[in-house]
Amino acid sequence: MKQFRKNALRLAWRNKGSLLGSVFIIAIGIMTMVSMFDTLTNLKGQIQKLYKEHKLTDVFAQVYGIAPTELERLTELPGIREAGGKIASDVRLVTDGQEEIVTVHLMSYSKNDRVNLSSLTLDDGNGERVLPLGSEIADDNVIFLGTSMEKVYGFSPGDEIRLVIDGRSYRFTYAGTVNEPDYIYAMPPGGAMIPDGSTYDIAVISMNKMKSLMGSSNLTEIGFILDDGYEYADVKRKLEEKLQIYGLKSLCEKEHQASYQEMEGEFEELSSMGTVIPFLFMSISVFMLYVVLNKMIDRDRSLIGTMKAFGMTDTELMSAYMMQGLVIGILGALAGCIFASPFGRSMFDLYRSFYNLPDPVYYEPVISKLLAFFIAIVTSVAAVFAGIRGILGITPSMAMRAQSPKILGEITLPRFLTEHIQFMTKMGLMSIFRNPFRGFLIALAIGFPFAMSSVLFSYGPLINSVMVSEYDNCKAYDLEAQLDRYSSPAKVLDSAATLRHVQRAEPVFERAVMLRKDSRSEYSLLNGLQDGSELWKVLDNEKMEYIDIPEDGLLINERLADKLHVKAGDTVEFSIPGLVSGWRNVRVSGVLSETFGSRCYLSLERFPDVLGIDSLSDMLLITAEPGHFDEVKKELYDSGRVTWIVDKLKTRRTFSDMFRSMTVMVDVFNILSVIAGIILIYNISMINLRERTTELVTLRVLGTTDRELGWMLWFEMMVYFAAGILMGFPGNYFIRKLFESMMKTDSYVFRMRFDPSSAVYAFLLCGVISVIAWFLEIRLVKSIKLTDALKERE
Amino acid sequence: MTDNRKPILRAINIKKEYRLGEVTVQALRGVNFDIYDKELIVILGPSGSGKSTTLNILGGIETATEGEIWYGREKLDWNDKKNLTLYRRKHIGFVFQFYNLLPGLTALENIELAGEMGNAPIDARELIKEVGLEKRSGHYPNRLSGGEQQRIAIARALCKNPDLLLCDEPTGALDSKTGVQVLRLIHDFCRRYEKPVVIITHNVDIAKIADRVFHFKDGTLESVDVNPNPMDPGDIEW
Repeated sequence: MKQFRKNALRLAWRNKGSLLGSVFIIAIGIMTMVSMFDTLTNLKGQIQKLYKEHKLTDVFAQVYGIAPTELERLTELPGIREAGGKIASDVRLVTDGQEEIVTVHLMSYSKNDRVNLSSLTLDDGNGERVLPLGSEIADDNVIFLGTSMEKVYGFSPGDEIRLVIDGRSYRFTYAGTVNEPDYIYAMPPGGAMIPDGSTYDIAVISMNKMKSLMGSSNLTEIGFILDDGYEYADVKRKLEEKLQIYGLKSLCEKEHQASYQEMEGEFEELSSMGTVIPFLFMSISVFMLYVVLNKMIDRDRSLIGTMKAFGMTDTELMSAYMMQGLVIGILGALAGCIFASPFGRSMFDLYRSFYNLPDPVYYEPVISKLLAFFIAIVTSVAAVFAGIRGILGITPSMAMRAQSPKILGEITLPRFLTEHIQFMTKMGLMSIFRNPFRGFLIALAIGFPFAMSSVLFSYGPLINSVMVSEYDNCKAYDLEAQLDRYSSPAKVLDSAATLRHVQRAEPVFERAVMLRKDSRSEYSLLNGLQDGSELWKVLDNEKMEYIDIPEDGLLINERLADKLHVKAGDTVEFSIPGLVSGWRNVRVSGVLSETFGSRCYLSLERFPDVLGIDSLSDMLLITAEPGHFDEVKKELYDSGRVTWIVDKLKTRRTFSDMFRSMTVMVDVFNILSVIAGIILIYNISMINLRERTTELVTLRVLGTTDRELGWMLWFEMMVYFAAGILMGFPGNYFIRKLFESMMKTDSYVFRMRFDPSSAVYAFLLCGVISVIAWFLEIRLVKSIKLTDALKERE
Repeated sequence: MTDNRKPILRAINIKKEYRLGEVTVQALRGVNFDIYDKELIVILGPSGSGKSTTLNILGGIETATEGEIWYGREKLDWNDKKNLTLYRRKHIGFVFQFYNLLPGLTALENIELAGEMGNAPIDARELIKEVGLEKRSGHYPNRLSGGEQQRIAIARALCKNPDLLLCDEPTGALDSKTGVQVLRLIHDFCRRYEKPVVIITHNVDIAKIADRVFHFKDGTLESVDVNPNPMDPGDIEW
């Protein structure tokens, strides 16, 4: 038995190229799985630790102001265990060298804070030091900033930072950074979906200072921790009712809080990517292992027959081959785990650059490695088992006889074809039709990298088309200015008229609103646009046509409609905290498909009819006269009424940068799939060619020239290539749908359309691989000694 | 022996050395012979005597380390692979011990394959009739017996109407009755088309049908027997 195993291993070593290829493909699958799992574990673990230690609340609310004592009284409500809050406001930050309007979400800090605790990192010039939770800020004039902004501006201890509040400037000294469990993802106002430390982040100052700046000790951002066994739904109505008198602006459960929701979306995306991508690669490696082992065992048939005749049991025979699967699985897992570490770290760094994480240290969880070994071993042993189970049922005499070639049956090629094609082409055609399984394997080996690459190549063009559609076609303005209060659209336009070099301006209303349908309720952003707006066109990216905002109700996007389970024609309850008291029934007049956000639209002119309030506006969209962009921006920057400016091109750049970073990851997957494709196409072609050695050498002995043989193999390869590409199209569809579902978050949904140019790239790539494989086939055929092959029995 | 006929093929001082690891094996140690039209030659010798190497060198599927092969007025250039291929294609017919039929082609198609390569091919359907397998023409090799496969292999070799037929142990894998049938086909080709045939075998009884018998031993052509009255294949038995 020991000797037989040794023999099986030595024979396997002769196929080391194919087996190492299988190891490599397993390693790719394991690498993607482990790196994503580890990134997820690191992110999730650290964030959940932060949530727990910093007492992230179960319920979040924004109010115009509630006294701490009044807030404390709410803990008497059934289900509320703890309540706490901060004074918070978006204010402008002024520092040296800034070119943009910089806003910080300024929050009060007190050592007595009870929930959503801030973690301060003091930078006193002698290095950074994380202060224990509940430490006191002794100096009222110091400020702590979010880590993203600190990274962008590189503040040093003692740097002066000014905050502009109600037109007055206040000086602070930079003291260090702050992390908040509810602002890991610091979402700027103005509809931007990506953190941008150069224009927006969080900041904290002492409670005393905050009170004096705001002129009030009333808390504006509050949160509640629920008693065990209670859920948001249990306390929601009561809290809404109680908080109304404090000017309730928003109330939501943890799952709908912006930062929390974003993080959960990321986790979900990572988790599905970490499942789907490794699954694709593992499937390919199982397929390849199955083919390699199956062919190898076919070659060992007579040996197996001899061993069976000697009395070796099926179990003993199987175990010798299973051992190979075990070794391949272990090697694949080992290599995958080794590659996973740097890949996982770079992915973690990518995420780290977007989030405020307190402890950005990458750990290497052991569980992922154990899981990797388990999956790799089980799949490779299973592939081996599938390959050898056929030998169990055969008798020793059957095993010792050469297996009959699997031939589909006699085919008669049409006469017009046989008369007009070369003999070697005819030979190639016969070979293809009479052994379709062999051809199917090669076609599949070509189809996989084509399908995968044609999807992955389309990621870049997809992002580009989304950017063009969102920022060039829909948003035709240059600047978006957030005003400090609501006014009538006419007044907002009047104020725009005072600005010089403005080519066109339009008023816009933007505010968080709540929609309710039966038991479902969702926060959304409402945009009131003027009829026939030229600066903000609403595009349905499914139909690829601009939509006019209906006159009799809301236009909502598909994502919001899905969450609320509503369709065009339905009626929803609608509330704008602080502007419209109570709930109003509003008709959903249309549903459109959008890439970003969860928005709804209403005609500014229809506010009185639909909402029962006058038309209002708090934003100005501006297009500058050519060559005067900077002047207009500066004028807005200097205006006392403008609290926030969105430079469209800058936002576009930020999005592009983020997606470019993601593109690097996608490119890595693309490279991996190409490598897998090369290994697959090469190995399966070679395995099939080795099966035909005697046939090909016989042809050479009979006088077939290298050119003729080359033509025959070329013809066969091109037919397999064409079949592979055809098989790749449904594969492309399937993978696109998988990626779409993976990339679906609460912030955006990408519709991955078939991209012809990407398909052409993938086509060329697979073509080059196939040509190389063909070239190597020729080399192999030429390298076989004519006399050697003729000694073997077919 | 002197012979006034003009040889179709001359082998002059053929030597062949193999490297097996650090050992050099001398497979042929300077072999000289001529082959004439219409004659049937049988090469006899024990394993390792150099008979298969000789056949392979004659057929241009192996190159000699030293020496010359002249085909008519043309000297084989061992370095010109293309010419060697054309030499095999135009002039040589092979019959192998294990038949080497193409598994993806039917019996008839296997024969036609060689016809497509020859200059003046013999009709494949005629040949399959001659070997008595016309009813099996649509069958694939895996559905034919060993003897049937060898008969198809012979038909394939003959189809391109070769100038020299080389047979490597053509009956080695067959029973005696089938072996005789196969020898008859080879013998008939030699006599009817007046083409030379070289057969290598371990079987001394087959030598009885030969015009000349080459005895190989230790890489040398030890002796050549001329058979003035070759027997008919039907008259031999083993």
